[in-house]
Amino acid sequence: MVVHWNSRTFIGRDYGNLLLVIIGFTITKRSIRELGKGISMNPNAGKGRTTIPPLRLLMRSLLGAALAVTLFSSTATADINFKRGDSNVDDAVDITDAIFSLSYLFIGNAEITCFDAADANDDGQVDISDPLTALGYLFTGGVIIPAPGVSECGPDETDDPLDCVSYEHCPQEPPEPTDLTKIGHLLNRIAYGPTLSAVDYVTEIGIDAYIEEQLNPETIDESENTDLLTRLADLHNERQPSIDRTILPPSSIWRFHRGTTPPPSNWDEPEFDDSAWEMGATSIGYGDGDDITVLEDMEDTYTSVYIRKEFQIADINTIDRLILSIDYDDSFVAYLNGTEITRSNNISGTPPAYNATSGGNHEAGEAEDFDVTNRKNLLVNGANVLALQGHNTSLGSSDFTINPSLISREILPGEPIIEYEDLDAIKAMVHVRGIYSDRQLQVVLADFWENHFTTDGEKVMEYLDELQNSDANDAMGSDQAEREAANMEAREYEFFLDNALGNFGDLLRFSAESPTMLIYLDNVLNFKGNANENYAREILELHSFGVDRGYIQDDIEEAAEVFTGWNVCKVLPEDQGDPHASCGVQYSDTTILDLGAGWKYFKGTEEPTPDNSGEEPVPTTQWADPDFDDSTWLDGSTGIGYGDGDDATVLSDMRNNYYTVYLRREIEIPDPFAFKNLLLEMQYDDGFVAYINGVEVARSETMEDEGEPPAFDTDADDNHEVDEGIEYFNLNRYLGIMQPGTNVLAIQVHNGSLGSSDLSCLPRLIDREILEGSVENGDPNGQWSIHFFPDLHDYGSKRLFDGRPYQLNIPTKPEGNPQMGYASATDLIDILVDSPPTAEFICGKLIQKFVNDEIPPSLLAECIATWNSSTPKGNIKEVMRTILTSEEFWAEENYRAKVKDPLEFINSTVRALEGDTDGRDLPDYMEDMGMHIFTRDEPDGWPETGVDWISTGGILNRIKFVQDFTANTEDFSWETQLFLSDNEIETSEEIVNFLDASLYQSTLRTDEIDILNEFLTTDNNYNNRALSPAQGDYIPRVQTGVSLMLSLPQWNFQ
Amino acid sequence: MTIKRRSFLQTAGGLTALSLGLNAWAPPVFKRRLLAGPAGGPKRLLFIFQRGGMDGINAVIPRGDAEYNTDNRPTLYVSEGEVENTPYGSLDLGNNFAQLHPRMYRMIDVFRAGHMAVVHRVGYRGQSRSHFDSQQYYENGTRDRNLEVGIFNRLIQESSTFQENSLPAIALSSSLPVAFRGLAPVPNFSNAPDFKLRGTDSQVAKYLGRKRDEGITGRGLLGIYTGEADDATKPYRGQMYRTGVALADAMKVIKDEGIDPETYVPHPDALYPSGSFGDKLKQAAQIFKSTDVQILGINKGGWDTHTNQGRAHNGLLYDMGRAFQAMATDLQDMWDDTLVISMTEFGRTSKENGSFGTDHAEATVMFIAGGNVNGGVYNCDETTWSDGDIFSTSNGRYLAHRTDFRSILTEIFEDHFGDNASVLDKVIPDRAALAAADPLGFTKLGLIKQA
Repeated sequence: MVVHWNSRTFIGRDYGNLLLVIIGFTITKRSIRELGKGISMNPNAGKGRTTIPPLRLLMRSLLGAALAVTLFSSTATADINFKRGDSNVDDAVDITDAIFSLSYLFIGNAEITCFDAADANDDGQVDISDPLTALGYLFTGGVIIPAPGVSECGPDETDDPLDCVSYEHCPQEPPEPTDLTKIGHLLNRIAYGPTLSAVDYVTEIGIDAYIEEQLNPETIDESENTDLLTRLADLHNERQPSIDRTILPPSSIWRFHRGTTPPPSNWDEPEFDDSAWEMGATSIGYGDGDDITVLEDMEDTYTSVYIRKEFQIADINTIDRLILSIDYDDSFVAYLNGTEITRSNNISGTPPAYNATSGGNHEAGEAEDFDVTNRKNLLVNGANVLALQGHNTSLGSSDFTINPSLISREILPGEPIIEYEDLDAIKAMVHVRGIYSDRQLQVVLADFWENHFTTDGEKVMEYLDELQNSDANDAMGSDQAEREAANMEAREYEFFLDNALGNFGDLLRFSAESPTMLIYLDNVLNFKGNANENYAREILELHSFGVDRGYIQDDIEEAAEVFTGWNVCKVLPEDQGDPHASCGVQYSDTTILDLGAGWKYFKGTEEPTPDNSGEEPVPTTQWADPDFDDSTWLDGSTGIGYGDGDDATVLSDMRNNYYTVYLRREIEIPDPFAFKNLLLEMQYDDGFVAYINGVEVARSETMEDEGEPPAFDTDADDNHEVDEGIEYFNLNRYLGIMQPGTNVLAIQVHNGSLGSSDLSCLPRLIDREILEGSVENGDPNGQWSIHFFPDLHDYGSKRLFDGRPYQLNIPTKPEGNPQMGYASATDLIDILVDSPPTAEFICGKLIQKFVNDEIPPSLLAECIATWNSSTPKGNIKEVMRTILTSEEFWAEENYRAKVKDPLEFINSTVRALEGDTDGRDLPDYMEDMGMHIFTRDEPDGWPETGVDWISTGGILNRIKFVQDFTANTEDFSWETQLFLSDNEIETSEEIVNFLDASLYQSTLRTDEIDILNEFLTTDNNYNNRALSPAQGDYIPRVQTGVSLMLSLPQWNFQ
Repeated sequence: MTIKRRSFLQTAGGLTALSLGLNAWAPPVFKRRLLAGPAGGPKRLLFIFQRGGMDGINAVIPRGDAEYNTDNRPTLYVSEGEVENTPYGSLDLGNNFAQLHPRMYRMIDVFRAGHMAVVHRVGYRGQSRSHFDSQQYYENGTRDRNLEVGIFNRLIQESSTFQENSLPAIALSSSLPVAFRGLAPVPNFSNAPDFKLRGTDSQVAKYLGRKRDEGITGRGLLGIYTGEADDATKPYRGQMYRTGVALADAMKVIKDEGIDPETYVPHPDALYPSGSFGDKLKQAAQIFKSTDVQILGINKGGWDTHTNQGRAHNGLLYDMGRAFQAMATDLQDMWDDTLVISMTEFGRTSKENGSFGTDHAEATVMFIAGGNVNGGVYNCDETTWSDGDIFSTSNGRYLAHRTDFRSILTEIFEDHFGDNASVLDKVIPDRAALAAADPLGFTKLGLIKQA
């Protein structure tokens, strides 16, 4: 029932009739509520804060007591502004007020929220005299309503016991925040939101003490925080640092026997004569494309392969731990000098029969270590033999691989190295710290710095993935590349964590020297004479001064030269961080074939050896065969080509005439298997395919369709220049196709287009021996470090920030003094830290993070003063203290004034419900919400302002996350039953009110509370269905209701 | 009571007013045919933002500039083509000056049909070479960093073209691009089938509940999102609440229309790029065909080519060429009412750097395609480009702009959407002052055929 009452209807009626009208209704509590609704159709109604009935306040106090006893002391209400006589709070003193007061007095059903307003005669009580006074004022005249009066807003100036909970039509002084709202605000900003226990803790020690604790995280003991420590421990592995010395390298030449027949019984003995066995480079196998010696006939024919190799040890006493490192598919047994030393756990038989199969699948991909130190006694000085039998899981298996190596491993003393497996593990680590650490401010700031100095772990991974070792084999697979990238990012993050409240200069310097940053912003490509500006721009624009503050484009160009030569290198762990430590790999090269004469060549105006059997001529590789008759070809020398002036044989007619030139050369090789690492060294323009004895052995990336000879009129599908550098191709896998004696190297070289201005081919063959003491790019025991390449640095003078107070003049430095060259950049960093634009930019960012998207100028000035007051400048702890104790931080207008970013949303949600997560699945949710830490492409970091995080897609994915989280899907769990019983809540009202208090500091309105209770107490069609633990679906219904409470717009604010 | 969009947004000048206006927001009516534009259907615009800064000199080669040579671009230099409609050598654009990068060959037919304007030397005065700043600038249309409203959001609010449209725009992107941010909430998603809540249809229906309206109490999520904002005077309230409502509305349309790149069957001759870019383009075509959504935005990243640009551009430009071909083919029935445009925050250094890439610079290329476009090459011919102009900025290092990007957008707003000067003044603030300071930059090119 909605009663439409228009106050004008009653004007002129006498008092007695009015009473009759009221009493004539059967007035129930419900009808009074409806009455209230009818009246509040007033167009001015509904603005401002809705009144809160005392009953609900009481309810809250009771529930709040369970949460934190002292938090819910009654709100001070003495200074509420109101208009006297307006008992029904509709902004007008009229007949309805008298009716409302009478209903309150005599029927007892109207709820007065502002007793001061109802006290029309200001006699300190609400009684019959008040409606009479109001009626007198309205209809008889001469009655004066005491201050503040009927049309002015003001407080009650009389000292009386009456209360006014709220009065929405008058401007109010912002209410003094309660302790709970203050604590909520503090934990929303310096922590990832409140937890029940954190609220208790702050209540206990006080806000000021809590801030001081958080500013000094080292005073917070986390050694007992098992919630944090066990989860962190689950996210990484620990490895004792070690140095490996290769005794028998992977990818080397072995004798092998195909298991079509059993080998002689002494095949694994040192004295066995294996000269009749085949030779081939490991890995040996088929399928998966990961084998160098491919056993084309193995599938469906035989299940085992026997391999053996002799190796020399000068002094067995130099062997430390003995490790068999082996990549295999599917099983193996290994023998040292005739005695079994280890085997995979999926093969049986001693020894397994030649036709045995593995008990299970095992996929190759990364070598696994088997520690066989206890069999070291089998080694002898001089010649030793390692022999292995590898077995497939079945005859029809799609792949087989065996690739062993032997290592002497020296375990170093010291702390174990913490290693994360992949990028997701470090993303999970950040969540775990954010959710479970008690050093919340430190973690919030670490995440802030990580974002400020953002690097893209995926770009680092791609960089590592493309590296070669000095033997021209890939330095590492993609798994190792991701693992190394993740650990480089983790190392960076740990520094940001350890120094989160330290000095800004330390952070900036660390970031500049961090291998991830050097790779991410292309400083590894910043060379003298060919500067790459990427890092120079961003250190000014994003890391220190801020965009367009106090520098110009010329400064960026100068800064780029300052940073030339700053690069990365993999070094021994003890050299990490030393830019001048020795770097690289030592090897000795023997030239097998140099540039020069002896070549035959054929101009590709047509196919040299077409197959004309079909309708169209098809290219073949017959021209590359050893027995091809090249006597009609022209004689020439390498390099060959035109343009660029790098050619000994110039093809002056090639441009606009033909795409391809074909080359052949005979090479004498006494013993192919004597090579250590046979490398094809190539400089080329624009593409090539190389053959030995007619078999394709190398191809540039610019030529498509590997394995098919390109036709004579094929163009390279990209430009490639000679000065892009030398490319190496390891040919060990093709030693088997070489003959002792004469072999033929053949190359077809293609241009990118007919009109191209140049073409080149400069081939060499070298044999490379890698020397001891080298740290290869792929060495798992090395560490990536800043490295200064003196030859790549520009030692000339530089001037930055010309004419500004912080102008920097760098004089010409002496070439050959790397320390001085390097110092140019550290001097620049010092200037950046000390200069005013940096103070303003970093202080502004911190204020934006912790106070408001709009930076209050007064607070900015205070922070800058604090920044400048320390030596060195930029003490973050002091700046943070200034912010957290400022008026601006504690101004009520800044409470819940910021929008949570996805990291804050997820962490605060798990914390609020005290949920359990190992963090592993959270990165996917983050990504859906549009944020992926450690892998952002752009260098500017994730945005801080709220406008960037409000979108339909964002809201949807936040809701999906809370739906999954509350429903216990995926790998996190929220133990709903425990949560309910711990907090002694069960009914819809109890649950809603409890979460209103714990999530929202009791700021939800009655209309919102009603909607939530309706949701919990109805079925899917909104038909009534009570919520009771007796029901089988009680828990899922509670979970959906809690999910809804975390889907509210309010939950996006902090 | 039905409040039209227009009046809603007018009352919604500030955040406070917005959050209060919500209770009165009527449920939108979808699938209503809009008033036909001059050519029949509603006017459509798909924009592709190439994030990172596309090297316009590589995409559209100024062959007539002698400084375009192997000295300045040792590895990036593209030699002249000789085989038509194949990816071999640059493609003639018909004016003996400009040539298209060979890997964009898939769209050459769109150009040769006269349906594509290739506008070179697009930029603005005082070009920022920061990604962040320049993207903001392009997407806001103004340098005012405090104006947190994207140019297409302002257009939707101000232009009469969109007043009757309850779902005028969608961003096919997991985060909402700046160009779409603002008071009018624009839905965004990257994969339509994921654009829904968990649960069965009836569970979702209950969760969403219903909006508050006169005489109707709200229920569930919508009941709260259509209520008065908590702390209404604090930042972002109105935007958050309205966005939640827009989410629910848009999810309904996407579900009802079955938008799904997996099941969508495009025109058989459309050569969509592979991967997520192609999937987004397919969704764009499907949305244009089945709804009245008028503006769609797609991001295409990867253009920050400081290193090995040649190889990167091979893939990127190939995708762009296919994108234009696919849209022209798949949307041929509405092609006269459709524009597909590309934009990027800046061009790149005219000289190649030491890493076979290019660094941040100034002017670059925009492509504008549609059935009603005055096709051709703009700002890259003998009359507009002097020898050596690839180094025409005052520091002698970069390509200087001739046309301001906002002048091009003005033509689109005027001649495609039919907006008048008063609307344009609101959508592009300081229009007159900008034009006065840069008369050439704001000279109308005549990109769209007049009705």
